Amino acid sequence: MMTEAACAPPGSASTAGRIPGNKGIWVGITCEFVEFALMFIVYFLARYHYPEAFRKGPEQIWTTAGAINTVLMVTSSCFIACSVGAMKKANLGHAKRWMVAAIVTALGYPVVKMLEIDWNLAHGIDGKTGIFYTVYYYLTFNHMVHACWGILGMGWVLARMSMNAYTAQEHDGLEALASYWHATDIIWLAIFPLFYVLA
Amino acid sequence: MMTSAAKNHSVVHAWAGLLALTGLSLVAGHSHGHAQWMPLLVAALIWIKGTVVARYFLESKDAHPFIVWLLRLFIAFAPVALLITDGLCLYRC
Repeated sequence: MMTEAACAPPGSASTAGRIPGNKGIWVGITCEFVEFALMFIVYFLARYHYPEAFRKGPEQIWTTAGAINTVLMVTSSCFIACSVGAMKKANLGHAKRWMVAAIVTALGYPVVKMLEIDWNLAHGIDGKTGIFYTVYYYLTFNHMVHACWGILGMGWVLARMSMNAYTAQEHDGLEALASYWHATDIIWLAIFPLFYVLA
Repeated sequence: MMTSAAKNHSVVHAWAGLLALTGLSLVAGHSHGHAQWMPLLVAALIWIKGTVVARYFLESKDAHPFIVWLLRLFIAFAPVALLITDGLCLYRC
């Protein structure tokens, strides 16, 4: 499935100092980073003041769901990188197929998150169970909202691909979406060990 | 200059590396969840994984300096805050 030819980003042109996508998406990504940095400050303040709650908290939540979501986020990010690589090589067919694969993979994220919330509620874990769970819901739910925006963006980019709106030279929309999704992936890769691994 | 084939390999290798690091963190958390060195390991893993995504998926090394620094700062934020918080907790105790 992951063929090398389709995966390869473009080649040799000097691109130092370029803006992947467009300036607008990087304003958005900067805001996203600031927003999550503030939420991380809340996490670390709570962790400092309630170390015992944060020591025991990860033992109660569904680690498997967090691990599956990590695999889904990383894999969909890889598929989008492959889609951008295929587009840069003017291989529209491959670019579309990688984007479909990215959407299917990414859609697993909110599904697993819903199953996780169901599991939590069945085990008596809600936002009022304790400080660890309040911060956990606050951060992970916010991340899911950002991921859902990204999935909607993927649908839009796929529709634009179907209308042949992008070319090897002009595909800022695809790269902007890819940049946003990779940024959302980076955020998840920080959230996952803080809540699901670190006891 | 990196060829297309080499870049292709690097994307796939980055993906496999990210999955391997995730597996490592799960195993370490399961077997040594309460160890004092776990925050150090987790901080290192967060930083490495973020850097891998930035470098190989976002191709940040070719990006505008603002983007490079934005990514560096954000990727380092949680690991540094984790080390400071746990250091302060140890000092307090």
